Amino acid sequence: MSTLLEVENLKTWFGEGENAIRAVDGIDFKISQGETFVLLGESGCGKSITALSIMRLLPPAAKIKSGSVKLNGKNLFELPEYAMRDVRGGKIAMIFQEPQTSLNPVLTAGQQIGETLQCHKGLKGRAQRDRTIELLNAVGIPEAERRIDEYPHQFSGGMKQRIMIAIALAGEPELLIADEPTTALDVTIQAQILQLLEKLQQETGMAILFITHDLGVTSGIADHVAVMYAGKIVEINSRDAFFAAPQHEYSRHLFSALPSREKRNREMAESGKENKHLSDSPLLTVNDLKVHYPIRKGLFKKVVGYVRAVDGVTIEIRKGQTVAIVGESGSGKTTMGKGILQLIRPTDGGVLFDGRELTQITGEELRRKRSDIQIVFQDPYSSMNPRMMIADIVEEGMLAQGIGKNRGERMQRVDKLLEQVGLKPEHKYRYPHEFSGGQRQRICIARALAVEPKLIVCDEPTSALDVSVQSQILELLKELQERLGLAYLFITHNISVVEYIAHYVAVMYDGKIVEQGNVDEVLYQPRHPYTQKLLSAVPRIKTAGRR
Amino acid sequence: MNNQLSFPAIVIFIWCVIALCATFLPLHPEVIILEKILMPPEWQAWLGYDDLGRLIADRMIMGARTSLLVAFCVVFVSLLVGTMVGILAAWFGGWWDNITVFVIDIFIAFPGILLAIALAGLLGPGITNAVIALSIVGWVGFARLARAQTLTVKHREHVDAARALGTGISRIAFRHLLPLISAPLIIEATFAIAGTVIAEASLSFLGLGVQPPEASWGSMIRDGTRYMLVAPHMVLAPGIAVFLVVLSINLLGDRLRDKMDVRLG
Repeated sequence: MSTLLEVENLKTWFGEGENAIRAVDGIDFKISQGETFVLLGESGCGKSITALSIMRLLPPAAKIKSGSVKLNGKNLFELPEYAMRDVRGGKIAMIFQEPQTSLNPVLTAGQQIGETLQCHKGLKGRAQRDRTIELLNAVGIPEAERRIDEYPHQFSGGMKQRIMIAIALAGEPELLIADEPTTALDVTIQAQILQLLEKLQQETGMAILFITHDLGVTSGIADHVAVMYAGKIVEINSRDAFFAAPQHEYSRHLFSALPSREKRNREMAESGKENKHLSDSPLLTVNDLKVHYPIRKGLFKKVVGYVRAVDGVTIEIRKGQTVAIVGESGSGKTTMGKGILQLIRPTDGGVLFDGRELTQITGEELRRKRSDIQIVFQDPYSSMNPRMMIADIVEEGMLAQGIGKNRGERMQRVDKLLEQVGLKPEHKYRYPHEFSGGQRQRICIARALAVEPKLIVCDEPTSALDVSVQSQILELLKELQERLGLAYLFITHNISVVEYIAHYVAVMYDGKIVEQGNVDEVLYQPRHPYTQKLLSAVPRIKTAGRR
Repeated sequence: MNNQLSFPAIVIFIWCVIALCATFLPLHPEVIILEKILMPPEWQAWLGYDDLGRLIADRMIMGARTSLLVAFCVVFVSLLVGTMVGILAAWFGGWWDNITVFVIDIFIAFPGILLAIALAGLLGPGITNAVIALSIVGWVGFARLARAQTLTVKHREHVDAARALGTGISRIAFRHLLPLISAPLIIEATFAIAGTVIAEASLSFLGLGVQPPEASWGSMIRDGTRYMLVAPHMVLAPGIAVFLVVLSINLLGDRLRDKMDVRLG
């Protein structure tokens, strides 16, 4: 196959001179016609800037310092801006990570696809509409004739991404750049979108430059893989060779950071002990928990119905145990966590903690009891007050619970807590924005530990983090569990994290738990059809040869 | 941003200094010199004399004191009460919030200055009553702003985390809500100062504020209107003063907004 796109010594920098940030620092790669080329790397490594450099759509602060991008032998960097407009959308199309914001909310799906058809194909009127419906059918939107006139908010996230793909296909491009197109989507939707891309590629023969951080996705779709790290490509290889034996140290590091059952078993074998804290009596018993939100309509805010966010959940957690709640977005996982913590008062049902019914107590008694259950949130950026120093953030719980006699005593404890989560005591006089995502998550864990909880609700604590950082946080949580006998309610959508950390797992769908049991039972012999569907959608690293 | 002294900053600085020093200056705002009635500016009296032959310059300075006193008292009380009401309404929600919003809506639907005039009339004229009347009208804006801001901040995860730690409402309000909603409130306060200077002048103009013989810019303008064609300096001096102070506060408020309105991540 002949070369379609050739990138040579591309350097894209932010700023000038000594202090320039070298986002892309001299990369070379070639994409052949009709192949899928995966650019793999963690956040901030320069993947997206590479894509934007190819399209010449860089933000004003970024400058292409050197190099060339040749499409069919023609250097794109030498084209005048008006000629570039024909390339964008016509020769190279692009889809983005966040389908929620990539579509114009005030134009219908049909208008947005039609725009591209008019620009690049000169189609108007009837012909344009026919072709749009054809495209919507091609990307698998049911009832295309009706939905063509609907607005983006009437489509789900996965449907929006399909429309984005339809827009990209409208110009019949030779190359499709897909910048993390499935990262914002649930696994089952992700699997559908990946299948769709593969099918469309076979039909149209276009090449795909696929940008991702996910090894599982890579293994499913790639022909060639390039691993990017700190603005450089450290390894380029065919998929089979890459997954059989990654050459570069960083690539191997990515593999070893992946959580999995094998890794957990290995660690268990190494330490030789499992869960000395695990007891038989339940620490927390959630009984038929319901959280319903009223839907109010009309002038007098009459209640016309309820959103059943959590609809009858029953689950038990023992001391020292990790129970994972798995489910897709909107299944009610987070609401359930907050319902247990009494941050949202449940509509019905019971939360029995350590022999005390939490839904019945209020005021001062509830405030005292709160020290027993803590929470760690998904987004380490919004879960800390930007105006407070780390010392004050960690101290807050101690003040609320009356731990420590004076400031000096509390500060000593802050030092100890920071060391416990792998930070240094001198970090305490800094502000949250001075820390990386992983470090912030450590601070959040220290804040929770400050009040000596028995149970921590972890609400997707690693979803916003890179794989290598994720593995560090998971290890920290495991170590703390072993040392302090903590129980975790671990809310996640990531199956491999569940395999690594959980003892017991409950699968949640539409506010209900559809299946629960030991990890091995549920994940390897799933009984409920939804669990089966969820598990089969998870992209896994396949051994060479099979696809 | 430039830290150079700008025109509005100088105007406000002079206003504040003059107002604060008014008590200590050798002024004679109430000394009547009959032969100088309505005389235009001259060497010893650079703003001229009023209809009773009093020094307009001295009366202007006393007026500055009145306007500053009223403006800061009113804004301070309004800010305090309004912020508290707003935060509590947003925090507790439910029927408490509904009642607050209802009251705020009623206050806003009724023209503020008209209500203040009615109240000042009811309470009787005088500077204390003017402050009370303007505060009763003034807290509404702050309450509405504080409520809206609190609603957006309330659902942030660090607030949830603080609640989960068992932190009480007062500590959450002072450490998690106030620091994050203070910027718009401070900006609103600067504009409220400008508004109050005008409101005080209006009340005094109608005779409901400061009582003679004490001086206020509003009452000076009222006295001046009767002699506008004979002695325009009587209206011009306090008029320009009000204009300059209000303009400067608004300009500074705008600048403050540009500086402080950086969205924190």
